[in-house]
Amino acid sequence: MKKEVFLAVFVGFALGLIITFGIWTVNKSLTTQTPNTSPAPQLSQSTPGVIPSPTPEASLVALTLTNPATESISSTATSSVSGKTLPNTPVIITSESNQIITASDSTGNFTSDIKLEAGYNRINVTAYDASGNSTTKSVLVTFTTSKI
Amino acid sequence: MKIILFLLLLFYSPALILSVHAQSTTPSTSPIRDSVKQKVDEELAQIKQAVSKKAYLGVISSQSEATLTLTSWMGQTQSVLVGTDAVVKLKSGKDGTLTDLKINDYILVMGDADSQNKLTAKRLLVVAAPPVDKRTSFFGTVTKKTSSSLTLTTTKNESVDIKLTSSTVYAAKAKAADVKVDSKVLVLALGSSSTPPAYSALSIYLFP
Repeated sequence: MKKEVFLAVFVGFALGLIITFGIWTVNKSLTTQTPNTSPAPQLSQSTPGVIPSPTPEASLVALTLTNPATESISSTATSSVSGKTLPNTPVIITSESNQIITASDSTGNFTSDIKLEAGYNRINVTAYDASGNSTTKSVLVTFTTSKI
Repeated sequence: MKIILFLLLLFYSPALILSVHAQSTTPSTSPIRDSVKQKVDEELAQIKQAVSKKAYLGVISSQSEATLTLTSWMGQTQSVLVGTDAVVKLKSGKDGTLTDLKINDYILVMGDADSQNKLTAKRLLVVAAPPVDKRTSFFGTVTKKTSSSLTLTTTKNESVDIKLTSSTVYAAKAKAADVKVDSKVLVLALGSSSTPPAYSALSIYLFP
């Protein structure tokens, strides 16, 4: 009888210790992961949705495309093309079978709708400055009504 | 038996005390819970963003079992995984299989792209190689104008004759009559396949 009691006490003590240690460990690890309330330093900042040029080039005219995203799939037959370049300068937008010359506004923003053909559409956007220098960026937009 | 129960209760008491303590400190651990929730939300958003519907256009440069390597129309190397459920459409419009695809075939492939831009194909079309774009732009000053043509001197000091047609569009609310000799213009024109090519204006932008 004494042996059994001793064994029960020992087992109970061991289990108690294990559970206690487990709770202490979990509590400690959660406490150390409390987030720092000060803002984390930003290593780099990029504009969401900005499409990089496929091939880096010495850009004479600043041009960023915000829409459409390259290699995107559209379920409608038109795509809104927008971006930013120099203020009040012409921008040529071409797709497979459509082309538009538009102009940026006083802040350099431009936007225009372009028709898409069924299948792939290589959209080229070329911005010019007043001296005739230009920068082109290209994106691929696929128009399909099939469910992907 | 009572002694055993008493002793067990005694030795479990630290655990009970700690668990009660953990529950009582719930309000102070809410930042931890919030941070965990925030992390989970961020991860979910990343996963959602990581898998996106995309379409690649390019030529098959290599093929191994269910994986195709494409050289895209922009010169990038892209990897495509073709599952058994992928729909393959041949140039003829007929349904095909992965074995019908050959190196140097031009394909348009649509599916789910992961964060590494590896595409799992859902629909794969064999297409003709994209045609060369015959549209070109000219930036220059008008040196001669008739009702049916413009002569420009470009920034490279070249003289170019461009035909005006009824479908020529004038951008930014300009009109044909606004374009005069000495006007600075940007012309998007379609070149013919002749040598030298003859150009017809598609769209004209008149600088203010």
